[in-house]
Amino acid sequence: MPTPALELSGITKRFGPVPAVKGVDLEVPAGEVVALVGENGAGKSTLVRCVARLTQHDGSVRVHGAPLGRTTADVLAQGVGFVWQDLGLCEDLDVVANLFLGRERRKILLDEAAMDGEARALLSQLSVEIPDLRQPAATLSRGQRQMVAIARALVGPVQILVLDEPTASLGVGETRAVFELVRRLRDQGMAILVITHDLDLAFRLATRIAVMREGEIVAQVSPLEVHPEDVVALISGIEIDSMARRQLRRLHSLVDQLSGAEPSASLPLIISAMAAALHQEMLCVHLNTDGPDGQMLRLSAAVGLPEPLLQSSRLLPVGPGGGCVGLAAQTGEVALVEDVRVDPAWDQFRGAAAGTEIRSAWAAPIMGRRGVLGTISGYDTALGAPRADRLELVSLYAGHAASAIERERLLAEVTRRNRILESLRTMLESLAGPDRIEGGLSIALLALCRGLGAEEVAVLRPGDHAGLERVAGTAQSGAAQQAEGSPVSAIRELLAETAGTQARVMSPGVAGAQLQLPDGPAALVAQWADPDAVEADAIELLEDAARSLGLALEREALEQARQEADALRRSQRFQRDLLGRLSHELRTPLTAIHGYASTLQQPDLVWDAESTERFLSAIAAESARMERLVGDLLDSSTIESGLLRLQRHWCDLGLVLDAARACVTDRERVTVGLHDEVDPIWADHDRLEQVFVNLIENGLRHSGPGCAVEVTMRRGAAPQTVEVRVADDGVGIPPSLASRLFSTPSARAQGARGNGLGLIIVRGIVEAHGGAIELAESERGTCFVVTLPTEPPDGTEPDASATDWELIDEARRTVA
Amino acid sequence: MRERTCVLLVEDDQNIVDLVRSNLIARHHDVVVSRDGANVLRTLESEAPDLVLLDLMLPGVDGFELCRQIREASSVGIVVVSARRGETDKVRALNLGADDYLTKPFGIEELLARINATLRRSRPGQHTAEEPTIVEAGDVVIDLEAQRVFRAGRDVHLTPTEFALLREFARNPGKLLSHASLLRSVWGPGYQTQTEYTRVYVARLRAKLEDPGGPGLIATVPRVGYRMVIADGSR
Repeated sequence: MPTPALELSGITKRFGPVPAVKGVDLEVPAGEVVALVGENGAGKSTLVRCVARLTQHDGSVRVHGAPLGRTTADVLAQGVGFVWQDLGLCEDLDVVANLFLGRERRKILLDEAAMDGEARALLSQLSVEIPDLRQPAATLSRGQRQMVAIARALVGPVQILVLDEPTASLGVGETRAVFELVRRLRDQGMAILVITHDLDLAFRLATRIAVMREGEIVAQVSPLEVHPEDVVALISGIEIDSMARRQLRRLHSLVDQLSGAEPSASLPLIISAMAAALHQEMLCVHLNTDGPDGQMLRLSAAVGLPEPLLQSSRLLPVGPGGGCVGLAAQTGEVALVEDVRVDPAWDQFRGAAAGTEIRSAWAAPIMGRRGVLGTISGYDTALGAPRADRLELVSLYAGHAASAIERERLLAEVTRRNRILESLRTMLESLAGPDRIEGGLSIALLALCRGLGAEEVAVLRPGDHAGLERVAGTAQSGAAQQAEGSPVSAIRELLAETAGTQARVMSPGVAGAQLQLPDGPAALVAQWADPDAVEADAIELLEDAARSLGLALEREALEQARQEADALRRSQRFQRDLLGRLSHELRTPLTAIHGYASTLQQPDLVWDAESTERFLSAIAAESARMERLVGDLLDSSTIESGLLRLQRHWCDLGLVLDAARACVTDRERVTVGLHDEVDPIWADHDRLEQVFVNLIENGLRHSGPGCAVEVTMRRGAAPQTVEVRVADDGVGIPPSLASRLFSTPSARAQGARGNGLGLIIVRGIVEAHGGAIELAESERGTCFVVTLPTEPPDGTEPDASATDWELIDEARRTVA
Repeated sequence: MRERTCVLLVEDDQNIVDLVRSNLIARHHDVVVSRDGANVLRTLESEAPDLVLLDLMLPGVDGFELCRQIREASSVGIVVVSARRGETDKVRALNLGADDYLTKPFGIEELLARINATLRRSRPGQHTAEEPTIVEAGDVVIDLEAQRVFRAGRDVHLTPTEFALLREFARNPGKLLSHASLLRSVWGPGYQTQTEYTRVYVARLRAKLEDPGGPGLIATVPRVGYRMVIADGSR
């Protein structure tokens, strides 16, 4: 194998006692895109910072087989380009200057015109369109800025490109342009490592996806072989499991989302962007929240914080009790801890941070329109206050954070209802979808219950004695179970009203809406612990939910009806095919008989003795064939109509198998092996013989000449059973046919000999014995396993009456 | 002695192969057998049979599709043999180019009669001196002696059964011909009630000789039969 362009082995990075990256091995070959995905704090950025020599690490990084340069400049000189998430463009310099920032000393670039030309050549080589190369970076669009940043990383002989969240802040069109560029670079043989949150990017661009969790690479997968949901599961540490369970979990997580109070999903993004921009490895965000003792600060996002500090920062009071964080929240000003050993604003955390390298800290308020929304705080391993420009940046990000929080709170207000309805819709679609979920209605009701902030939600319909019957619901207590009191009569009244009646409060803390179930009217009832918590929009939501539920259930019922109709159609088609096939089966021997007879009758021809003999024996053979066929038909209709009666005695299964073998023409190809001593079984000898003759003949037919059929008998797995296997080494049965094998003769190839009734008869007889037949897993050929009980079923008299059976035999003789 | 004809028998059941072959050989036909229908098209080319006897229910082969392929490759007479008795199956086989459709079970005399009728249609001759040699109808020119048909100056390819039917119309231009008389003269005695044959074959002639939407060559007289429309007489 060629040496990979970039090769990481055993990379480990600790922040104090906390390992951020633990022994990571990763290869990025030329011409490939490796996507590094993982949650915030999984160690992705730290890993890349190790490669860039921005932080020291243990382990080895090799670039084209050579050790990694000792400084960032050395690494760049090795042909590794980095594009950080903050891009690092100089806002007031123009595009050309930005492209060659730090490289102006190269001779050619002293000349401005030459720089222009080279910039133009570089950008056009990358198909990046920026009309005015002299415009300042500040005036570029976000997409253009990303392109310029990538182009800058590619100045010089770059063969390895590291991209940190290249699409995090881009729109759809801009993202597409970045995708195109990355794809082109990959195709030109560039080795590319992309850190991303964007699974779409990972699945569209990457040749491999490396999933990082808690500092380790937990999986490297090919996007062609895994589903995005599996990658999400890997990222979050949930084991991959079956589709159905995953779907169920998705529903549960939807429910959790509905009830979750997390106002800001973009906070983790903001904080990781900020950590990168500030080169600050430890950061956290606290948000104001109402606690039992007034305003509290809850930890909402963190990056790089040591675990003890994380624990002691979870919930802090506003004010001096909350250390620098509490002070910043109280005063609305930046609070500094220049030396953690002496500052009283660190008293709160001193114990927790004792084992860490933290020497100083700061906290900045997040100012919203209505005051302080929370704080951003950072921790440093050096003493002293952060530089003024970094604090300015902090307040800038705090502003971003504030507007994000405000926006999300606002959105949450507006869309809460829509989200509940949307989630309900998704869930209900899953109920009627191809993979239906057991208990889906209950899950939907659970979601609704949380969305309404209710104690319990239930579907009720009129029951006996003026009561109510519970169809489904969330908890088994509460309003629905109170058999007396006003709700019951009020709900019955609601049910009696014409459809389309509005939802309303039925009694204090109980509201109901009409719900049309496919089989009649019902009520969707919610109960709140606190009657004052029932708001007008909750009633409205209840009504909307009842309407959606009704539609979904109706759709489900329709789907079920459609499936039943399909099954009926299939069964009719099956019967038609069977009839068509049987008419062919019957007419073929009839044609031969009729044809030979009329041949011999022709007045103008005299046949020689040999021909005459041949024609007569053909007539005899075809008559026997018809007799067998008619017998099979009668047997199968006897079985179908439930008329099959067995003539049971104690019989020796070994003898049955020997007799069956003796019946088939190709008996040399059949071996019978008796593995266990088996007591006589209570069965119909002749009928069982028919079973095994059919199975053996079936095996002989489906395996070519020279192939063998093996019959083996042993004690069954269950007590008082015996198991017989009939295995051939022929072509086997495709799985698609296996399930229909005992019911649809037409499903088999028309060319296969036999009328297709054989296996139906086999199953009928075996089941009449209280046994079972199934197709066993087998490496080659086909293997049928017949399991039979050895003892008569309890409570049945050993009864050898054969009246019915004689009747049927009589019928067979008559017809044949 | 009469020239021997060659029959290609496509049938998978050994006893029926033996039955048909014995009888055809006794009646001075050569017989080539294809058991699975796989190489029928190649046999058509190498043996140039005068007639194909085709079983519709072959293992693993769609008999209807095979019939269509044979008709596409050759104008050989096709007699379909099938256990299916439904009219839809019969019409479908005729539409796909079969000349005749025989249901199982059949007596050997009936089989021989159908084979002979189909062979007779495909044999040239039967042209009598008092008949006109060339019949013109619109842009269609029928040369009864050379057994060729031209439409707008172009040669139109007809199967023997199609030509036999067209000849009946050409011999009686403008005259109403009943289903029964057409069936009797083209297919033979015993077919008088099988009007699906005339319906299918008139449709085939129309498809080859008429413009869609243009003036018809053959007019339908409901419940009775057909008549050929002669625009400018015949000579």
